[in-house]
Amino acid sequence: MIVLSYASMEELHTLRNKIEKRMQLAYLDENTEEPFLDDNKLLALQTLFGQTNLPDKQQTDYAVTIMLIQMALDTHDKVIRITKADETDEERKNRQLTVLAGNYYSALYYQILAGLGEIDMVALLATSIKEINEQKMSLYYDTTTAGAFFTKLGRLEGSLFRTAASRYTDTARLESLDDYFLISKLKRETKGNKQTPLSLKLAAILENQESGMTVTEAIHEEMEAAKVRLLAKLDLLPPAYALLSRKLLLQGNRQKELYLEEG
Amino acid sequence: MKLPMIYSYLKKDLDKIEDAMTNTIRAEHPVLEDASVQLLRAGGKRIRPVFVLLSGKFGTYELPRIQTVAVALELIHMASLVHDDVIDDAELRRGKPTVKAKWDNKVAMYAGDYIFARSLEYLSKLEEPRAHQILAHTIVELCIGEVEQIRDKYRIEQHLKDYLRRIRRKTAILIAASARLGAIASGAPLGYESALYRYGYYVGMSYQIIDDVLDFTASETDLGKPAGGDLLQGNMTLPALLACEDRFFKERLTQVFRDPEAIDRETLEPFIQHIKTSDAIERSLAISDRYLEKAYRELDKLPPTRDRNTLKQIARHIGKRSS
Repeated sequence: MIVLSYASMEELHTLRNKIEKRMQLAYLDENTEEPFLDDNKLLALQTLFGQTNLPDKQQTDYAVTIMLIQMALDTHDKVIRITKADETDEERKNRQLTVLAGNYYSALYYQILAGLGEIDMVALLATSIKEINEQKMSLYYDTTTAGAFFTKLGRLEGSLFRTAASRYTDTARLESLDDYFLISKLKRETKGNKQTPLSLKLAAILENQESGMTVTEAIHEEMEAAKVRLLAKLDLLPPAYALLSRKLLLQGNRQKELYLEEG
Repeated sequence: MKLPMIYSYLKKDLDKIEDAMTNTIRAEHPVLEDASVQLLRAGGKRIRPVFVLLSGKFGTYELPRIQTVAVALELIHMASLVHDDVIDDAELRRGKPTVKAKWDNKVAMYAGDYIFARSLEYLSKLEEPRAHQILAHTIVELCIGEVEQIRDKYRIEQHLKDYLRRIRRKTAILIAASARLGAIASGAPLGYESALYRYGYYVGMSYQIIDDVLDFTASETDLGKPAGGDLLQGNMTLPALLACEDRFFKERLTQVFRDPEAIDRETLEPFIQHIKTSDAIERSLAISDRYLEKAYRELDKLPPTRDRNTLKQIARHIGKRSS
């Protein structure tokens, strides 16, 4: 059985609490959907900063900051494309607060880093946000194929991590982590029956392609393919990330094969 | 006299700032580029860069350094406007289609986030942690102010201090920060920096109060939208709050506000007319004047230069503006 000794569940829980505490704003909390905090992304950041010589507090501050940016971007993704003409008062309030919640989380990122005097890090992450929005726009107008869409999505999901990692390591060795982030994202998509911006976009691409596949089928197919790709490249990843990836793969239906490989 | 005439001697520097803003928000994706410059092309008063430039004159005025602050502040303001248009579902801003109207909400969200990121990236050239701390705090407060504005919609039971706190966050502190950051970027003495900050704050308060008054009194042509829009959206601005001192008016408005979804322009027209003809407008303007008086007093703490005079004229212009 694989044990993640370097990032215990307790440490993860503490970090989650810190992020949630930082984000609190009563009226937003009461009136908007709770932002999703991706544990897999948090674990990747914990692993990254855990391998640096940074003091513990700085590691925590960086991880909190990057997750705030991620949640700001994810929150803004929830804003619907066109405001409904017959929008109810409740729907209107939700739309308005979703915009403001994203703005608030991204303002907090700047406040934390400015408070620490970390202007270089502000710049580095701002550059990443800029690039992410370029990628999001490209994804939004993408009309090519589901495959190309998923490749872009994996790249997008790993963007913030890659930017942070570029400060400390050669990110070329971490390329295959795009699949790690893609799997994490797609896993989330398969939970619940709610239509998401991603599923709507994918539905449009599939229809355009006349693929005959449903969104759920396409997501499952891609998730399996990404797992195979990630498994094939585990040995190329630095050990800590290989371990992290194994943990993610173990959560899925390749658990059996991995146990067999582990002997 | 039109506002830009007051600071016409800054035109050369303001043009450089305009160019820098255009260059800063260039994007690779064509739609992102178009959407980002959409609001920039619509123009605007550029009052924040003007305050940055003028405040910078009270220290060592080095344009590249001052420009860094001016560009970033105006872009931050622009990013928030692009998102505000999604919040308000606005079709027009400064007489031009909004980003969300020309494209959609998604594009507006990405463009706003892009512009905000670019502004921080650009401002990071300024290695002055205190300036960043002040600005970061200002942006957080601005967000809280906007959340509170939504929270307080259709809430009749509000005090004057609720309103003042809201407009402080919504408008005044970014103008105050503009004046303060200009002073910091130029290394102006701390006493000047404080005076400029308070000047900006008081002018900002007056500016928003007058904006709220004009929403009732200005013509549709001047506003670019029908009058009374704030009340229609449930925003209790100063004229509405003061009008609520009339018990009968307050009771009737309370009844109407109980069902926001049923409110339309026709329902609110009598209320808008009442506010326009009551003393609420005059009393609001008197409060605005008190802030302007305070702003003038802060200017007395600065050396008597052409720039100080310009700041005074801008404050006076804001107090008398009709659009």
